[in-house]
Amino acid sequence: MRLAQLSIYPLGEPRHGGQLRGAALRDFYRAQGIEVHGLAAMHEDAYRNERRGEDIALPAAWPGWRADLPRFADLQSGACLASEAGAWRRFKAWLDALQPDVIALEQPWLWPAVERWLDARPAQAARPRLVYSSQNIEWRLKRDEVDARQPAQRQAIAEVEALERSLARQADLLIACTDADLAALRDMAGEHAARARFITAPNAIAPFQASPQRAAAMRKRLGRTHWPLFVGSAHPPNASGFWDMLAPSLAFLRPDEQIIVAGGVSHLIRGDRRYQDWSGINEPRLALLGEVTREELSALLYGASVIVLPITTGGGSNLKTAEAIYTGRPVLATPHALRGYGHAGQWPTVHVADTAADFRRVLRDLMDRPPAAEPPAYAAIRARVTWDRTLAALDGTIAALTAAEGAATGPR
Amino acid sequence: MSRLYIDLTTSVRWRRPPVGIVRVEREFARYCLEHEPGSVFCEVDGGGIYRALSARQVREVLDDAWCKAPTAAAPTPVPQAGAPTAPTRTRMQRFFDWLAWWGPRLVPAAVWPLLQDLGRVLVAHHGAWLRHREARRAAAAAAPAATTPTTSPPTPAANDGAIAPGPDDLFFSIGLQWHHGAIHAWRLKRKTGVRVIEACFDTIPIDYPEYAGSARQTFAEHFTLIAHTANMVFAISNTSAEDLRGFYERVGVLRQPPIRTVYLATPDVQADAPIAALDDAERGALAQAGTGFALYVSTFETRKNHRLLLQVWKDLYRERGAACPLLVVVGMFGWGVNDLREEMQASEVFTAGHILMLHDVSDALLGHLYRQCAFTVFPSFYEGWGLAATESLAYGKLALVSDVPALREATQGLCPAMHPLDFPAWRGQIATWLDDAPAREAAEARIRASYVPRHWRDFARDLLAAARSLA
Repeated sequence: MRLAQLSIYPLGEPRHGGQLRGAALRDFYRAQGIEVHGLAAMHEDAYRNERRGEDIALPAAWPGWRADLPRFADLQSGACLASEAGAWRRFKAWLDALQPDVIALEQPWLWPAVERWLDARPAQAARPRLVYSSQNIEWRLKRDEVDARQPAQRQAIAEVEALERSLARQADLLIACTDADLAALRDMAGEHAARARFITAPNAIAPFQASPQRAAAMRKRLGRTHWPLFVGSAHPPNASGFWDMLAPSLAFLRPDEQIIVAGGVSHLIRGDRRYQDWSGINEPRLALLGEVTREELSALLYGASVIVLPITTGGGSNLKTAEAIYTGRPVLATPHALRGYGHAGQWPTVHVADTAADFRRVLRDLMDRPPAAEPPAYAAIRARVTWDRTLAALDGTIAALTAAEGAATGPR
Repeated sequence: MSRLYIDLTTSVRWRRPPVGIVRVEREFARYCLEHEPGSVFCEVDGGGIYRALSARQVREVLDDAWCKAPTAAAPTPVPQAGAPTAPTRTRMQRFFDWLAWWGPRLVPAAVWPLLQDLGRVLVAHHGAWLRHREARRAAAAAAPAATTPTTSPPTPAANDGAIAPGPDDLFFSIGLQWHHGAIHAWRLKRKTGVRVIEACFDTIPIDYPEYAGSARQTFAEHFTLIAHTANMVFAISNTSAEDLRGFYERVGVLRQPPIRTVYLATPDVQADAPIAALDDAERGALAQAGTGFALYVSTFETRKNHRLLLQVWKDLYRERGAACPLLVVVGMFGWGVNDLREEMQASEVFTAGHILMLHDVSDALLGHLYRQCAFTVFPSFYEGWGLAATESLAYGKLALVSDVPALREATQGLCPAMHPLDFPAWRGQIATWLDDAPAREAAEARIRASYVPRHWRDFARDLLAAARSLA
């Protein structure tokens, strides 16, 4: 069985959440004995060093890129692939040659191109099954991220919603990160929902450890034995969430205490107005490390006195949450950060605060405690946030799709 | 009984006539030197270590002559037996002198300010090193005479001069700590557990950054730092105490330290200084001022609202011409007032001699100016206290003040207060009090009968009592 996995980012060296989830699904499919062929289509300036031979660099000269809508480059990527002559020709040729049994879309963005390919096939051709692997309810996420009062932004959000709705009504299998997202997808699928399968597969992680040498090197580098840690990518809501929960300032930290910030979000922390309001207080209480290697990140996570998850917006579930829980270190999270992880708020290492005042107070309290040992029998909890566990619900579903003749029907 | 440790870093490094905060540290230290035997005085060194000063050094620093010295390098070297007692410069100090003279001639103009800054740091550290060396030698010389008890009580300083307070002791850190680094007191507390007393004079750089250059963030961090350090913060007024509490709430400090108001002393009245004791320039200034003028004693800066007085005096001059009374403005030039100074000096009322600006005024001359003025004015936009207004009352002179909370507090409700932007009110009040001598005399009589001045010993006693009342 051949499966075409489509995304707007390469999966060869996964770093950010979308890549990690796509790569985990790819590995899972392969472990199921499925022949997986991946293709990514992205703006030619993106992921330059990560592209593989079959990936498609969408030309910057295409007139549909909107400089006034930078947060909708993903939406525009799908439109470009479906309409730009050169890109479309390569995409069609790849699918024609592959003749996949299943097409799995990581997020909905490339659906316009897939839909065009499906429509262009001969009527008698076998119809591939369609998997929509959702990571968010994208239109809601966009609505939260941009100024939806602007007509252009509003129009773009409506286009995203239409795209998601269209794919939800065509997919044979819909995978969501959370039960809430799954319910939204089911709602968008309308009457088609009765003919499709819906599965929740929360985000998770691959097991990881910190080597003693790396941990010692990190302690030496930071000049301390434990630290509060915040990890995030250069995704603007990550920085907003940090200040949503820690503003008005970091004055609750003592002069020798710092929150260690790792990842691309380091570059956004100082750009927030709430940092600047009290920069004299905030600056000495932050250590902004920027991007770190996987090994460094592991050392940071396992050495943390508390890992903060100040996530306040966005759909899907957060890989950082799984990563934090996996370490067995104390975790301070917003309720939003725990979406998709069931009753994680009741797990022994997890502390929940839903207001900024509580978040700061609980963080202070956790930092005042002596270093916490891992709770007994933590292995069982740790296992709940691994891909092996969260993707188990998908076991056999792809094979079942192709085996069930006519399980999904509809105009193509 | 707990031992007192007093950080004298500000006083050690201040070699000019003392401003308010410097005076507070000096006067408190003087009181402790006289009345609190066993007190330890110290200075923070370049490595952030508090080192004890010798008794001779403390007396030298607290002497009035210390604030009249022309250079900011170091106290006079230790007199050697048989050596002349006239101050001499060490080789290193002479090297700095040489650099100060030749530097501007040898390096590009753009680089010189940076080198000057570096030089100041080096000079300060070199001065501190000399003092610590002397203190070490003095301690070593005294050591053989001392007997070492088998169960030794906490010692004020180790052999290297580093102070070693205990958890029951009190450490007073009440000078210009944002310059020297309040972090050192925090580290000392963490290391020794000593109870630390910090100061809040005002939060103006935070609440009114437009009047304080770019100091807002520096002060925000300073006050945050002392929130984590202090067992008690003393505020110089209820206004400053409330402002500090408000700041802590705004930035989310979770545990505020106790904040106690301890009023400052009223400046000493120079009652008996003879005019003959003034130098020629001061006698000339006093003669130029004459009598019956309005006096404003304040740093010349935007917050002090000299502009309002300029407008009032322009108006008075338009109305009265040569009969316009004199306004005497006393104080050093501050930040952000170049335009105002030019405007003032170009105005007709100024060129006609109805505004007199005086700088570097001695306490003796200031005393004469207070005695000879008709009344004083204080139209500041905001204050943490208002020392000059209390000084005016101490001389028995009426002060017209702006109606900001601290000035009402400082003047004990004895003075007319107006909004600092209410030109008609100020214009009217100034004209009325200038013209109505009987009313002035009645007001002065009321002040003499009602105003309760404070002495520095009152301040020191109250501060010590507040600190010792800590649980």
